Amino acid sequence: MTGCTRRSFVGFCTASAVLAGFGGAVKAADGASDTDILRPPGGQFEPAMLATCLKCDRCLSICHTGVISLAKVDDGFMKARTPTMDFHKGGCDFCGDCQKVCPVGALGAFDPAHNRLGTAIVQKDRCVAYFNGCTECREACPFNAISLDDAGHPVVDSSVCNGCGVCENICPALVYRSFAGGTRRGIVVASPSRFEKLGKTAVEDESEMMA
Amino acid sequence: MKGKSRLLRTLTALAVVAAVCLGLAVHTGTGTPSAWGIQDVAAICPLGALESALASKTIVPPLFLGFAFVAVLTLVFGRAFCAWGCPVPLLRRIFKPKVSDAEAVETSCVDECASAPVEDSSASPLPSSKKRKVFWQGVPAAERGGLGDSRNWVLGGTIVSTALLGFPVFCLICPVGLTFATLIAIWRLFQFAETSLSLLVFPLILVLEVLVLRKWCHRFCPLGALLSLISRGNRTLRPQSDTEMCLHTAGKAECRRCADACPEQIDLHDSVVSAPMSECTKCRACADACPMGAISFPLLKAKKKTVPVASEPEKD
Repeated sequence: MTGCTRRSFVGFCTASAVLAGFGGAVKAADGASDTDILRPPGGQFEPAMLATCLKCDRCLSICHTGVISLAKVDDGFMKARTPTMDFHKGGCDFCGDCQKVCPVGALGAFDPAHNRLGTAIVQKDRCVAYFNGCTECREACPFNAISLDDAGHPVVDSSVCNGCGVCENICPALVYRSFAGGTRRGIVVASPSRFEKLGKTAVEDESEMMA
Repeated sequence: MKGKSRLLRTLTALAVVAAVCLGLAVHTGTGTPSAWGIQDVAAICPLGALESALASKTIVPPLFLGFAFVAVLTLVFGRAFCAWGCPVPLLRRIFKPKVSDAEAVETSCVDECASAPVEDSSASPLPSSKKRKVFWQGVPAAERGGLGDSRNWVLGGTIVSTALLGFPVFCLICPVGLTFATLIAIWRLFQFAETSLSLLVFPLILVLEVLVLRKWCHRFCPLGALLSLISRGNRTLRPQSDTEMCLHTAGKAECRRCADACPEQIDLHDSVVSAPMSECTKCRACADACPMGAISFPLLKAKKKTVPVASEPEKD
């Protein structure tokens, strides 16, 4: 075993510099604490999610509703492979399996009565109730967060909605209405930081949703 | 006998891939080698665990237990993961099945050495001193795993960058993680018709690391470096040569096939030039190469008849 030679010191410094440079660039590009990405229960604090998640895939594998999906490189290289919620594939019933199998604590404690994954936002240009009658989301909501106004349009109570996504999962807007491009349904769960920017539970169209 | 363990290694690495696929197909929660297990019982990538704990400055119980589990496994089996579970040698085998002799000596890939016909290796034009590979990637083989070992620099860099930036930096480019990321991306392409840049970017980085930087395992891999460090405490399942059967120690022939076959530069007959035993991946290439079948991997060191390292000085 050699001692600390100049060669090993330079090598160590080079490796550190390369990795720190690469990591720093990636973090500067994608490390924002505000995100439109929906996280599984207990993964809502983005800095902690990015610090701990090893992208091991256990939460995705254990999820019995299939709602857990993976962020893609398109979402940012740093976020790629971290778990996301895809409500087109299922809704969350807060069974707690994903939190239980997470080996690093990236999915921490979550109380469906008080914490939220996000908030459901009605998309007026897509919602079937704005064209015909439709009450699917109101009937499906396990937390009675959706009611109908006088015109029969769904209204989300943001103080009750915890973003479980059952409404988005069941929404038939893309089935009942003619193809209008994209995959946005009549009701869409927005991440907590996105909802904070919006400040309301109904938007006219996609541009308002993403503003 | 020849190549038997090579086939076994391919099968075990494929079994790991199959287990990941099982986890994707049914909701077992198996995971990938980054962390895997059944329900609460899980092993975790020791490097990932270190990074995650450093970045978040917290150690949750499952992380601690998973790390302890892997540490115990490594103490018992040494670096066996590198030869038997890691998908990187598997990828090399699949995508670069043929490596020229000169390259084989240079990269010292497990498979080429293990599968080289015995006649060829004895009639090799290379002088034996060159074949001894006493120097290895610029450092003497005996000093592998030390401060001069470039893998340890990457390990150090991984820890420093993760502590500085607050997220697991190396995980982003880890070839083990990216192999399964690619697998999952392809799986989801077929299951959900889900297309993304991931399908391009992950394999691209993987190709760069595994096929372009062919010396990844011996030169860069910080996971291998960490397993080596833990393996310093490994005393079980170490290769031993039976002194009576071995042609070299019995003085019957100048045979060095085991040393030439070893991808980690371990020489059972010469402790001076040999890489430390903590580098052993239990790949069994030496046992396959031995014409006398003198090398075994006993659970515990045998007391008599065998010496793990002969004291006989090197003759030239």
